[in-house]
Amino acid sequence: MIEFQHVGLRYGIGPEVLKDISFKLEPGSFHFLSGPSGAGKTSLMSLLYLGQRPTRGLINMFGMNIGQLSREQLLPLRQKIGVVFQNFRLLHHMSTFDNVALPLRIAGIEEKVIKNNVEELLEWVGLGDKMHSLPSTLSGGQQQRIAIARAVIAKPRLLLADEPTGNLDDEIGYRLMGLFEQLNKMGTTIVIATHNQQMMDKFTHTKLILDEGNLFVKEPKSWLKTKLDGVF
Amino acid sequence: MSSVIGKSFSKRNYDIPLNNDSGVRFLIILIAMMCFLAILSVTGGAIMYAISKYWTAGLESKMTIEIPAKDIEGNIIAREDMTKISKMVEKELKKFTTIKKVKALNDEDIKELVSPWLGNNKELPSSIPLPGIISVDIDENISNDEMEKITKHINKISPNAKIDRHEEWLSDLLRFTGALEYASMILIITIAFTTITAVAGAIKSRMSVHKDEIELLHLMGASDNYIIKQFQKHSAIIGIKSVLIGSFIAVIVIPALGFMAGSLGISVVPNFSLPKFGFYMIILTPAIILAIVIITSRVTCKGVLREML
Ligand SMILES: Nc1ncnc2c1ncn2[C@@H]1O[C@H](COP(=O)(O)OP(=O)(O)O)[C@@H](O)[C@H]1O
Ligand SMILES: [Mg+2]
Repeated sequence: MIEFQHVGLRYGIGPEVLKDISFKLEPGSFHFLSGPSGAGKTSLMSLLYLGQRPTRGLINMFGMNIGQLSREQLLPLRQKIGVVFQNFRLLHHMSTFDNVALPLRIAGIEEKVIKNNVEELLEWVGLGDKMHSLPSTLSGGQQQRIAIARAVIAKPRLLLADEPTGNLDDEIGYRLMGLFEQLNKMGTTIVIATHNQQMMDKFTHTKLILDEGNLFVKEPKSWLKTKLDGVF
Repeated sequence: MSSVIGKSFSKRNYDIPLNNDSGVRFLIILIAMMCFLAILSVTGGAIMYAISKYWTAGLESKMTIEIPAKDIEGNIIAREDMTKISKMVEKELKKFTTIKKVKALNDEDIKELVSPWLGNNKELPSSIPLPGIISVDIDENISNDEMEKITKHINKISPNAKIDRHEEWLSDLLRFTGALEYASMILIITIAFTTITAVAGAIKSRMSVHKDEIELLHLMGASDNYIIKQFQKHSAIIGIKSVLIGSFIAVIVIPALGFMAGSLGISVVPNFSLPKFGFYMIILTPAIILAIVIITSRVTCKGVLREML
């Protein structure tokens, strides 16, 4: 699904933010990406959502060498990726409904189908009554849920979420984690960047830990996994 | 509820909030002015073209032969002799197939021609020397050889006859109207460039203002065309508004100018009417301006997007 080989990234003439990173994500896997603030989580995410090209190394996604693809060829890949941005990046001139509908409209889906799907999802994330409000009139937590709804509406094959539960109280946070789990069970590969230790402790997924631009993989303890499997 | 839905759907005309941008009104005024000036220039050019055509219509095929009142030796030719010479020239010219019509003006005609200078006397005093004038219609495509031959034949009868094909003053006039036609063409090209520059600049600044939104659409997998369409729609609406305003101003101002020109008595061509071609050009001008606006925004947008990831 995704393979990084000796990937490095720097901004302009600054120092390398990511240094010689290599890892592999299997299709249908679920990973946490963690590390202190400034470690490069958002930067690594941007490489994953094809928001920029690495300064060195090889990235292979969906069976293709990203470095060899043109702008046009990146488009269909991007349509398979759902992203929850750290700062949401909602469009503030359009309603909640239109924000969430955007990926479907870009994909050219029929307006009737869009209406049904978007309304259903917004109900599900508890924004059914805010459908026609502008995002700027909503709370941070509500905006975050719009961002999440927009990321998952087109049933992406890869879901990337950058600190998605940061602004949410625990109950909604867990409910959204439940949504991610559900998508994962349906085959979506998921990477969630978070520094919420409590949240990560509740799940058994493999952790990718960034520290000063280096990546470490931390497999879950197998005894913990078996134990927790009984709980969830 | 339905009105709320309607509102939300009408709002999504743009994924990029272009219609909220300031500077739209400025651009509309600018393009409207350009459109007005373009219509004015095209109208001016068309009128110049029509005037030159009107003034010169048929003159290419006309020729005037003047037999001076005095012969080569400076002796005044008697009226009866002059009439005889004129008739001889007329008869001679009738032999040429390239000459369609020949008419030696009689005393009455000449009297009328010179009356502004001599007063409207019933009888021309025979003491006043008068030239003989022969009006000729020739084939427009007459060759120089043929023309020389005709000149020789006339000169056999009257060695100092003046043959005037109106070429000199005609070419002066055409130079004048031609210069004005060029001026209006240069003006039109300048207007086109100004419009292109203004629209390209506006699109570029708008795209940099909305860089984040554009990038977001790209990240969701939107194609360049998807984004270009939004900008193009935006400029099409601006273009249509501008062109309507510009045409409206033209519709008011140009007839007013025409009226003023008429009432000042500088209407050089009575009962002047624009040729169909010129009329179509004027009608087409706003459409061309609109096309320039839309195409420029499309090309600019494409160029900027190509430099993004
Ligand atoms: N667009 C950018 N331009 C320059 N430097 C950047 C940019 N984005 C991030 N950085 C730098 O890269 C480093 C990692 O940032 P980031 O990836 O946001 O880390 P994290 O998400 O883990 O907090 C930081 O030192 C940050 O200053
Ligand atoms: Mg970050």
